[in-house]
Amino acid sequence: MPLKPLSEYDQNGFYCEMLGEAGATEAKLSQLWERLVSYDTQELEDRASEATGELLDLGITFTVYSERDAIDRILPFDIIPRVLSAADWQHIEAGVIQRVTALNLLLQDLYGDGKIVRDGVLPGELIYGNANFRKEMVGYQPPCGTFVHVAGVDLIRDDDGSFLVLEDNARTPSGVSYVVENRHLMQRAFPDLLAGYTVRSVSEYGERLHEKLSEVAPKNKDDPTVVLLSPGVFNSAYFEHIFLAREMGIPLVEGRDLTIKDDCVFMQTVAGMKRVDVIYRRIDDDFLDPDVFNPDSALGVRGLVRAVLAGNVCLANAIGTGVADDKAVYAYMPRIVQYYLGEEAILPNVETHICREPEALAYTLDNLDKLVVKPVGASGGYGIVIGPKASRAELEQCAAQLKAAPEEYISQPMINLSVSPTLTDDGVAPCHVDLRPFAVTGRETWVLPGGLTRVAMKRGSIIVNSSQGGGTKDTWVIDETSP
Amino acid sequence: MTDLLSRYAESLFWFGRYLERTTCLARLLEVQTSFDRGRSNSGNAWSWILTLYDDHDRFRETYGEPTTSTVIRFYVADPKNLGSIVASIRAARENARTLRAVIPMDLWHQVNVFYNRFRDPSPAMLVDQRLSHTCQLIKKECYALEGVADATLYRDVAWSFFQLGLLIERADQMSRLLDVRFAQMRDQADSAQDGLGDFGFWSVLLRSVAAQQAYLRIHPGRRDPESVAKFLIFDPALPRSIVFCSTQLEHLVHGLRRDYGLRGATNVLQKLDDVRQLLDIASNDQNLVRELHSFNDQVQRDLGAVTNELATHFFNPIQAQSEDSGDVVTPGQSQSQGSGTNATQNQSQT
Repeated sequence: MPLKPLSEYDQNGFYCEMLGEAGATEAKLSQLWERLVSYDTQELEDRASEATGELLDLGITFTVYSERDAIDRILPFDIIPRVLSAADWQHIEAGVIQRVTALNLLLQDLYGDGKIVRDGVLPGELIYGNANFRKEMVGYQPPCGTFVHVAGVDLIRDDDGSFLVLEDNARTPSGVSYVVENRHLMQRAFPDLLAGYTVRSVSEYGERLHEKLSEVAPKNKDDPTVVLLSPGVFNSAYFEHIFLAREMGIPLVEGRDLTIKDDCVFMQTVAGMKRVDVIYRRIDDDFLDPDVFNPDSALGVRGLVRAVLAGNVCLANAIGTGVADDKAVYAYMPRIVQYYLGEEAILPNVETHICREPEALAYTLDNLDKLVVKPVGASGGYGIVIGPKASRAELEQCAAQLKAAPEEYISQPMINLSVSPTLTDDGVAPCHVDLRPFAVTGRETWVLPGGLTRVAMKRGSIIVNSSQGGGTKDTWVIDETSP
Repeated sequence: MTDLLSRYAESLFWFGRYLERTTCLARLLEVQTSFDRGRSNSGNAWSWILTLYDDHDRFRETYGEPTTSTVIRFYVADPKNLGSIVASIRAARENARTLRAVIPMDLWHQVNVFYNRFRDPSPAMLVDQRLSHTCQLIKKECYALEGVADATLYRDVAWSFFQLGLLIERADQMSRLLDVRFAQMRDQADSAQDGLGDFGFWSVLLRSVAAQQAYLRIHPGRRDPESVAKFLIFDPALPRSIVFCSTQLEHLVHGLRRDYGLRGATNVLQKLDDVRQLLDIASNDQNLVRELHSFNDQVQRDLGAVTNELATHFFNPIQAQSEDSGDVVTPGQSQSQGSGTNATQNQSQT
């Protein structure tokens, strides 16, 4: 079957990242569009498969282990870029910085006096009854007041093109390696597509991250030793750990490389024990320290929490940030921004109904077929029920679950995610996308221009998570004047 | 850089060893294939390789009586044989994978492409007519990998540990090969065959260690067993001779102490002194060729001791310290440090 040419692309009534609002008279990015249309679809395919082969050769992969073998898979990569204007980016950047600032102030408060709870803005049981609230950290004051050093704020775009926050990721958000590697791939495979555009660079991420992590070293130590703590080669994000360690030029350590002596952290080198000042950890709280959290964990370091509390080492992100990016706390974010900063949230939330509140539960049950219901604890797109697409039986099951444990769920209206032209098995199709910008915070916050565009490669799907068949695109932030 | 993680040092060492092991085995099989052609159809012509790696028992468990094709499968394509080419490439690549933040991207790229190309050789690559070609390709990939390492790897302690692994394996392989080949010739001589005088035999031995041209340049027209053995053991200019390897090893370990202040290097040097002494005595020994087995035995034992010292002082030093203080020593998770196939039994990435 011949592939459908790009000129027959139809955005299906959604907001399109390339063409703009449905029915717009002129394409938003007309020049880039014309350039793309001029390619033969077969040529696009050929170049795409070449690029994909290169990902395998370079080992930009995640590994799936079976009993017999270890198989390297690549995250599907779409070669048609997603483009953001300078104005869009300015708006996103300001909104993300505001959001991260509020998250850090919230965490300082929650592990400090808890003023926001006493003032009645947040219900206490939502915080103190939350499994991700780590009571061990009460009273902890991290360097620079920063709890969330690396944040990934997931954004989506509505029918009219406005950006909304879907989720805050304040634990160990991943994906930034793909932002950088996708760009390098595009530069090699499609230099002609990029020609003439001034696309903001993403290459300095490692340098900026290292700078911010150095800022939070205990006791303002000059030239601190920063390491990245990984669960090891079997972790599906291992490539990203390698990438980050390499880009920063720091050791990629595992728990077994570290020991604690007198509440200080040391790594075992060929020249003996070397003191460690800052740990960018890519291990969840639960596995960090068997003395305090999961006692069966062999991934972490015994005594690490004591070293943190003694102020001898700084963990990024801090322990206990999971309480702030909870889906239930998310619903309060506009009020949290207002409370600490006295400002309106620059990036609004998706309207959210907190099912623990009786009115919200009643509304959700009455409108189940129009709403998206999400469990508050899960991540990776698991357990989500999309009302308009669910069967009668699925809706009934969902209602029963809601009634049984309403506090476990939130609901949101169905948002039409924007689409972006994407090369699929049967030609270029409108596929739904989201955007995860990455913000890095030491003394201040810096946002990597662009971010990770995830694309739902399955026809009609709105779930972009890589665990559910999602892919990625290169994300350009361009100067308005070019080309 | 002296803040190289101990675990990285160990991975670099084993990356070097597995790479060299692959090179040696591929070259050996390549030469054996050409040599074997037209001479013999029985597995006997190949079973000496089982002796070389001490694999007779493990081989018989799976394959029974050795035949040409099963020995080839066992050493090229059997992933369960941890001493096979596919398993060695895989082990080299797994070690390189943990080193990706340390080694140049080009080096990783090379090893990854190599692995993906040969991870699962098709039966067509192993048939008689193709085997020599396949082994040659593998050998060339190994040379290319060594070349990329040489051209790109930063010359600090990371390079030293990589080279230490490579050179120890190289010396060990040479010693094993001499041992088995000379024993084989003596057996044949005893049974009144053409024995030690077999011109073709020495030619094959020299070719299987890439030393044929060099030997002929130094000894035009000659191919007697004694001069071949001495050349392969003592020639200071032959990159695979035992003396060449031990000299390089000394140089590297001296550097660890002198340039990077690594104190554990002193203990490693002591073990290298043993190797040096053994070689000095042997070079004056009139009966060396007749006593080659005990010499080779000692070489392999001494190299094992060097590896042990490296492990104690650099790879698993926490255990060394707790030994000093009388604490209970837990078994390390290091990769085995012997050589040959038994050596490949465990991998640190468990």
